[in-house]
Amino acid sequence: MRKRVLAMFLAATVMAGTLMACGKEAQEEKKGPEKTEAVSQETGGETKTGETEKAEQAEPPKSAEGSLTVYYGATLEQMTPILEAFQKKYPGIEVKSYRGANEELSATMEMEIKSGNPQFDVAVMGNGPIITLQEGYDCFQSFEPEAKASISEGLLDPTGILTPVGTGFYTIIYNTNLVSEEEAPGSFADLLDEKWDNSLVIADPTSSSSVYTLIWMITQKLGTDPYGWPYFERLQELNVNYASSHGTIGELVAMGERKVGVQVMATAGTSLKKGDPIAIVYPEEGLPSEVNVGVIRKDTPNEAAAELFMNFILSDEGQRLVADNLGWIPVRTDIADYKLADGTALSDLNFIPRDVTWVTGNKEEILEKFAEIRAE
Amino acid sequence: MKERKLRKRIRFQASNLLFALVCLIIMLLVLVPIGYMAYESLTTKDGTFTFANFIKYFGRRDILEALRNSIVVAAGIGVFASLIGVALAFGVSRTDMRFKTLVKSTITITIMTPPFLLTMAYIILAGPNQGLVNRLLKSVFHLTTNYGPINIYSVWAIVVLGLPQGIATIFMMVFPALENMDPYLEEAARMSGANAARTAFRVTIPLVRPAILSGLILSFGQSLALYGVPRMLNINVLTTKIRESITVMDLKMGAVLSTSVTVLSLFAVFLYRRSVRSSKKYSTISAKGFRPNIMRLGKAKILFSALGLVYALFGFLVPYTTLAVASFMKNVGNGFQASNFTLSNYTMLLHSAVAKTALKNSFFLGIITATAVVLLGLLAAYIIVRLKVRGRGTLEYLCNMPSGISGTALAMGLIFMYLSAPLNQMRLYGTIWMLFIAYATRMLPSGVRYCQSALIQIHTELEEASRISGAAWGKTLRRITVPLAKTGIAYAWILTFVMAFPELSSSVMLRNAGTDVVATAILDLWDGAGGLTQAAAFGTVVFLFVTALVVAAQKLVGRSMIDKL
Repeated sequence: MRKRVLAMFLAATVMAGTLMACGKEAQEEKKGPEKTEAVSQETGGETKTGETEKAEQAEPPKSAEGSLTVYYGATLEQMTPILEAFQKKYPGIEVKSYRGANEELSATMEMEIKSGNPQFDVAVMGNGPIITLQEGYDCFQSFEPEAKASISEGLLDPTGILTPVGTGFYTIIYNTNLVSEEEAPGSFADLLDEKWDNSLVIADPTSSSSVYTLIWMITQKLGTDPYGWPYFERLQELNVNYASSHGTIGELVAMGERKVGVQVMATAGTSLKKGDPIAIVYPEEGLPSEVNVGVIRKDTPNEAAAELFMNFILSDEGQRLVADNLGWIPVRTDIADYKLADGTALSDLNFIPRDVTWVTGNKEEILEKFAEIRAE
Repeated sequence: MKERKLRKRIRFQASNLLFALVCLIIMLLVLVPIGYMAYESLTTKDGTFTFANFIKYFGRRDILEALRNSIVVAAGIGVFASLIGVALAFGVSRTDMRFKTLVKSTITITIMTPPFLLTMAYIILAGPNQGLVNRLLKSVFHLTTNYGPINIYSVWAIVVLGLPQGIATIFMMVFPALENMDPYLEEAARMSGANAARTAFRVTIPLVRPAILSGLILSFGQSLALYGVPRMLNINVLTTKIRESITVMDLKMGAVLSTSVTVLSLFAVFLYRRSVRSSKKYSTISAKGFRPNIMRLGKAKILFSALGLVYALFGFLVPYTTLAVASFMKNVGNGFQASNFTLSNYTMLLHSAVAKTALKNSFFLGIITATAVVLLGLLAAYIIVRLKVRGRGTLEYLCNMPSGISGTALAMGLIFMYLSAPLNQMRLYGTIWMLFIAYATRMLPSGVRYCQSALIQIHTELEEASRISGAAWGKTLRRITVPLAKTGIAYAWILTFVMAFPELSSSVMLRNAGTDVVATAILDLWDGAGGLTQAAAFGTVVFLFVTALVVAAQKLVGRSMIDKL
């Protein structure tokens, strides 16, 4: 009896392993057509430009093989269509990826650099942690994108180390099952109202770097009453929930556990696409925004593949994918017809670019300040 | 004559060599990372000895709060789990209470499944604003408050969510002691006129007091090491602060906190070892061929049965049913309407590259960890149980040490160890081998314990016959001991695999590209890479897989895990 059970267990394990392997093969075979569908859904047939079509028809360069590891500070569903489109264009390149909240991701990268065994070739994330890493380790190389002439001049880094790929910004979201349009907050200041007691969620500065954009906006740009540091003290009085990532903010608001969240547009857009019961508010004070960049690791053995990826993400097709899936505003000036996930045109919004020097230079003090506020 | 002496000497040296080798490997796994961690915490950046790091960090309010929360959690779980665990162990072992099988199954499942799965379910059930239980309570009692009455995002919620595992730990310690107890003392008490309650409090409980103390201390250490639950609830405790030290790249803070939590836990393990040693003098508790009496509870039967049922409902049936139901929903917030149900969370998992990588890695890590731990555990257990080598007590102590070290603290030690010269030359950081080292260290205590129990069950006569016939101990081990113990070894292998498969706390510190495991993938899904419902689907799959393996292991040895230990 025991032998039979042991034999059954071993057989089940071997079968599970074989099935997984077969599943993987089948998956690889299936990948082609599935990806095509995904990409055409995301970009929308009509919006494709002639350039995109030409690029899709063109034969990939012969050197386009090897492997590429991309680290990114976004969610899986946001980045997957972009990676799949790249993979489809360059089937010879084996693409691996790893995601994490910006602060956690940059910590992983730093540990890898310290260990002398960095795994990433390219990183796509907020510019703050990248600047800190570059200052500490001089670990990225400069890169001149093919589409440089089309990129908004104000966003370009003179050293060529940080290549802008999209601008992320903050919005407010609320659960439409629990909050009516009339009740919904219209500004950051509205969140201080008593009625939002135990109802708010923001990102935790110990794990998210994007939230520094919001902190900068409230404490530096807006600064005076009701803003400044007292704003966050008031949020603490209202028992604000600190979520470890913006994905969790989306989840908590969608399930109604928190009625209102201060959310990045990227994840708000994903929630809308998923059919979550949420609506987006563009706060009256303006939309604090942060430039997300792509960087190539210095001395990467996969430099050619890394450059192909960077050029892809800055191509017309890549930028539309970035906008549709990551909710980042395209950095190319020639993509003017872009609309946000809820149909809002970019020209209707007031973006306020953050001061990245303040953010990277005051991180320790900001963390200490939050530790103090939260311990109260 | 001379030849025989020489052979004896070689044999003696060979067993000593084995002892030295096993000690060396275990020291490398257990002591060296702790050493690196302690060194980092007690030195400045240029290597000068100092206590300033401790003074600096323990002067911070957030860290003091984390320390206070950790102690509240560990002590809270320890105390409440002792009360409930002892009552349940007593009820199942010695009384005619109902639901005994259900309680035993719940104990097994809670020991084997990670508490963060439970947490996900209770966020859905007891979220203060929209939790199903809170909504029910508000409507039943016509409460006007929007918030609560139950708040899952609190320190006490961690105590409650850690309770099922704490209760299981105490049950596992106390139940065998009660089962093996000589019934004559109780009978004497009853004959002298004591009633059932008086007999229980004056005779039974005092006799198993060492086992209760051991369980209490072990569960204190385990609760101090808890990571998944506070991480999901975003409550500040020492283990989450250790993780935070990596994200904010303040490694000195990580070193100080890891050293502190390890010292606290090891102190608990030290007390535990002492209590176990002192328990040996209680000769009334030994494996003898008698069965203790079953007490008729009378009116108290309802109380014990209700306690057992509540435990099974709270620790197993309700949360895992909730998780399974949520896994078929598009969005938990849209409730139980037909249009909200879908299979897409499972189909998405089938197509998710991350889920596949995670499953592949967890399988691989589970297999190599179980194999390595069982091999090492078998050798260590053989030395402890069979060889008369001096210092085997120390080896046993060393093998038990990791049960008191939190996964996050151990990972921190490994990071210091493998990022510093000369071991950084091995370039292990960022590879799956780093996770393997952490897993092997964490699973070592249970591996050794299972192997010890497999060896103890084999009578020494056959081994002695082999030795008398001239076989060396190595040959005896290979030809006699291992074949006889193979069922027990297979059982140990499966249980080690099951415990390694959903490991979270060290994985979360050491994983990176390509080294995601199931627990980190579930946490990532929860963090927004797919959402709560997909995380619930993955959690349900892991739960079913782990349960199936535990059932297979129990079938293999022909009795339940609880009776086995």
